[in-house]
Amino acid sequence: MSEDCATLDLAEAAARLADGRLTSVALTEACLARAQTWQASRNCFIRIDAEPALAAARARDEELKRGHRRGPLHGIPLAHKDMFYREGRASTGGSRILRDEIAKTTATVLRRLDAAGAVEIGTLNMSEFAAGPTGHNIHYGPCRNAYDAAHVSGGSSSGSAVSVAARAVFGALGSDTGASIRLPAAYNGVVGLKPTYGRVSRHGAMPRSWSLDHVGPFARTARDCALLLQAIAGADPDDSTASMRSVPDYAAMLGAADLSGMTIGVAEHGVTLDPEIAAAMEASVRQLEKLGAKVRRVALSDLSAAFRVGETIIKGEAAAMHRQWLETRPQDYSNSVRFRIEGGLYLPATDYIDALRLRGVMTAQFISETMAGIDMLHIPATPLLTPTIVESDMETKDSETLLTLFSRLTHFMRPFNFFGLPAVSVPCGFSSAGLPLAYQLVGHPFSEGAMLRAVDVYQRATDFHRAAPQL
Amino acid sequence: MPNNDDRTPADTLMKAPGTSSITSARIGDIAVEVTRLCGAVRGAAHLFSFNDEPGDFRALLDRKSS
Repeated sequence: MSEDCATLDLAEAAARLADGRLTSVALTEACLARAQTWQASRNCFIRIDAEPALAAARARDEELKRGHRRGPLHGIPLAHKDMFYREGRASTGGSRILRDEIAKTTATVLRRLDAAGAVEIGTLNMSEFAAGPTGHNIHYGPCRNAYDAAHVSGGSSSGSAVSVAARAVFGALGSDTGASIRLPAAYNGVVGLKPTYGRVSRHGAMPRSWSLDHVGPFARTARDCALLLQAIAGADPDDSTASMRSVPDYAAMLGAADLSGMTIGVAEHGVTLDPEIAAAMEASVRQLEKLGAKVRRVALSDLSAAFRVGETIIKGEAAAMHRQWLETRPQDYSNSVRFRIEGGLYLPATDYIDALRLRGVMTAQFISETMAGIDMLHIPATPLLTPTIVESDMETKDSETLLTLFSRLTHFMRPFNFFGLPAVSVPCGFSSAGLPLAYQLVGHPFSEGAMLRAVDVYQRATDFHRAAPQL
Repeated sequence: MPNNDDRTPADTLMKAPGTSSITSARIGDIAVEVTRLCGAVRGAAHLFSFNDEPGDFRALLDRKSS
């Protein structure tokens, strides 16, 4: 049987494009075929743009024939969460309200990927207005887990994780305001990186919460994530929150033989984990230690304050941006999204502002206490196994009960949006039901390179990321 | 947006833009939620001082970068 080139890693596909063993058209055709096949059962795309993608691929191949290679993303098929604006195209944001809203600008991250020569084959399903950790969507249908269609994909960047896991694209962008890259990445066995706040421009990305939104990549390997991050990171005159710090050569930081010289703090969090998750966490720590990392147990302060103060910021900002539509088009929201936003309408401005003031103080405290003496923190992605779509549907189940469940699912993730620290979800095993398990690494500000280096060493010693879901 | 001119201060609070679809049954849940969120913020208020401001956060990230 001939090899399906869509199953290659991004870096390997790029190498074969560069030396002429593959064409962008061949890669794009292979990805489009898988996208169509998987779409039927997983609903990971909102749109598949076959003809424009093939036209772009032909153009990239012509450039290669002329000796012009833009870089490692040249000719590589990608797709992104349907919330990155492209001039002249509607970006739904997973919503009914924005279904026909034609963008007047193109997101900085898309412009940078275009300039890098990437090929966009479509846009990806997501939770409505990027609100919700499961991937349910009443307007476009739920996105389903790549490994078991009865289970949730995770959200809100649901399609980004599933399409990468399904090998329908080599990488994808998502956004993360409270877990929305890392949780779906964990549930679908791929790497999801939430960079430091300000590392990647948010210009042209539909907002969920201006202060807590982070844009970042999904891929199957740390190396592929590094290539994507390289293309999108950096200062942006269109986003005043984008950092002016220079962008290191992430790929050049990979390839270390081991983790010697690196200290990883293992969080003693006091949260009861599902036993299967607990076992996977311990195994991953042993593996990191075996690879040369110095492991130190770190007492983790209670994250619930950061969780709640961050939630105050999200709700206040979301209510401000949605209140006109809540007034004029309440019927066009799902219950789950309206319920999440409404509380923000009643928050005193003083508490919202104090939440922002607390951010610097609490982040400084976390860095000086928890992160002191370690290079990164190892912490579970989530304490609970992946729920089913039926049991976590807020349109049919008790909303207060489910909001409590969702808070537990994102307990280990949301605080790092508040702190603005980089965090990456790393596949590290499978449950007895065959669903992926993952841990997180949390780093110091702007330490994405060191984190990806650790994941790269881990992935070269393990093969969890090599597993592929089957239809 | 509706004209707010004929509203009392209490109406303005309870019928602010965006709230017209919120039912009286739901308002109780929202009150609990807002109390919880404000409680978290106010419970941590001892951590900051008069001079702390929202913009300090981004400067901190740059200062603490590895």
